[in-house]
Amino acid sequence: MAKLPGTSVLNSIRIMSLALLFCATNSSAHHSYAAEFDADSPTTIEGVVKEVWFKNPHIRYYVAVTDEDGNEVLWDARGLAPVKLVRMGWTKKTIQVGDKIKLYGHTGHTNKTIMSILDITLEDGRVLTSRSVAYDIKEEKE
Amino acid sequence: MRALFVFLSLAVSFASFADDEDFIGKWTLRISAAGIAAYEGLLEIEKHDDGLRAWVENGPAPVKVHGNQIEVTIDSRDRQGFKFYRVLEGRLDKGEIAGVIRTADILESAAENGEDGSPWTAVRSVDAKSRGGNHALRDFDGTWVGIRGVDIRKYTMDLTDKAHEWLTAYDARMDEPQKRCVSPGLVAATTWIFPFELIVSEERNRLTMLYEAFGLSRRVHMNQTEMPEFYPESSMGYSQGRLENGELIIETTLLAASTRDFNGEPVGDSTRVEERYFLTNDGNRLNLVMYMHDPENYNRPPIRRRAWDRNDEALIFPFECDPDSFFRQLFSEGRMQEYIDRSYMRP
Repeated sequence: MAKLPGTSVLNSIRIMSLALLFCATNSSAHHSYAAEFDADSPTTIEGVVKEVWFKNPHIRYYVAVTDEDGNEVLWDARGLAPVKLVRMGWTKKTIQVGDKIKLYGHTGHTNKTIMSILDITLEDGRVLTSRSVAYDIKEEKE
Repeated sequence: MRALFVFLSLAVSFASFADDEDFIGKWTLRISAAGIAAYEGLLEIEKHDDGLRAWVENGPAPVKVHGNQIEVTIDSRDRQGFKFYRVLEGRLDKGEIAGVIRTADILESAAENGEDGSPWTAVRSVDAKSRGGNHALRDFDGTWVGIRGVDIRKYTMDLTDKAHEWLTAYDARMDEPQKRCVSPGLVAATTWIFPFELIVSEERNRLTMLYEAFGLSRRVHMNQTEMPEFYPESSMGYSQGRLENGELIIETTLLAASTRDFNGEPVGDSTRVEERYFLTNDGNRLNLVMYMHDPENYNRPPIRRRAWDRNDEALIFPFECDPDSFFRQLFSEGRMQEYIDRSYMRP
């Protein structure tokens, strides 16, 4: 039977900390991204986290990015709902203010400093994916 | 290679003498993709003055028939709300259709389970009376965890002019309820993948359903024939249930006007939602087929599906929601006044 991570939270987090490294193939969301984000232009940005907003309906990281002219621009990047991310071991503490991160995702149709996150690369090279569905993940045997 | 396949297919079709009439009627679609539950759907084909027309899950789906070859194009929504196309090419043989699916305009972010090239079948729809098995009401009690697949997520439905007008004016960036932490409503919430708990209280003739999504809850009044006189409209409505042939049937009315899906298609306040839940023989998988009856907005009732696996050890997480980031973005983009001015889109 499918075992839902969260039944044994610590165990799940330990398991899923490894799973953060894999690249899942499915996005999941409960908002209409198509109305706001441009599917044809996935973009990568790098910057320093200024604020962590780890709440429903979707997490956000406000990230300071230096543009081509040398100006600091504040990006508003959002990911999945926390209830989904915590089951993958991605918690409020995973990314903190001051962290340098690389984000990959879709930018807005009109606002080019908002992003729907697909992946985040941490300084240590770990890749967090904000695409996975996670609810029917089968727990691995230790 | 593909040209050879098409040539051989056409050659076979000319020899098989099938015609349009053989495709007319209701079919049960099944698309098998590796690693997930098969997608299922209703395909209905009718003959009109201008030729054959098809609907999938009661939304229009262009169809081409040549001899015993058929091609049905289904616009579908990926998990992020982007549209892509499933093109079902198949062949009718001995009363069944079988073929392979190809996908078009699919995005990297979607990559819908790698179903391109997967097999699909369609068999004549039959009366589903037997699918409930011998299950009792208490068998539905438990915590249910959503699984991937099952729902085709048909993108376009058969809208009335009134609904078209609404949809044209809808701007999901500002009007979508859940963005500001407002309940998305019964139709959307019950088909999301979030887990939920179903508590059966036979002595009180009541079901209680507790959803992780937005912390929603609802009560289902079993075997009730009358409606309360002053029950208010709400996003989850007023639900009455019954067990028929092992199948749990819930009908819900008194729904507040809302939206059906991410695109903003309306749910009118006269909507009646019919949910049909049935279990697998072992009682460990719960299936839902939902019909949304709203003739003011839909010429045919949209169909949605969902399936869950039983996991009574699973936790339902709290879902406290804070709209702060939504309003902050509106302010930073200078759209706050526009948001206020379009309050008529938030009934």
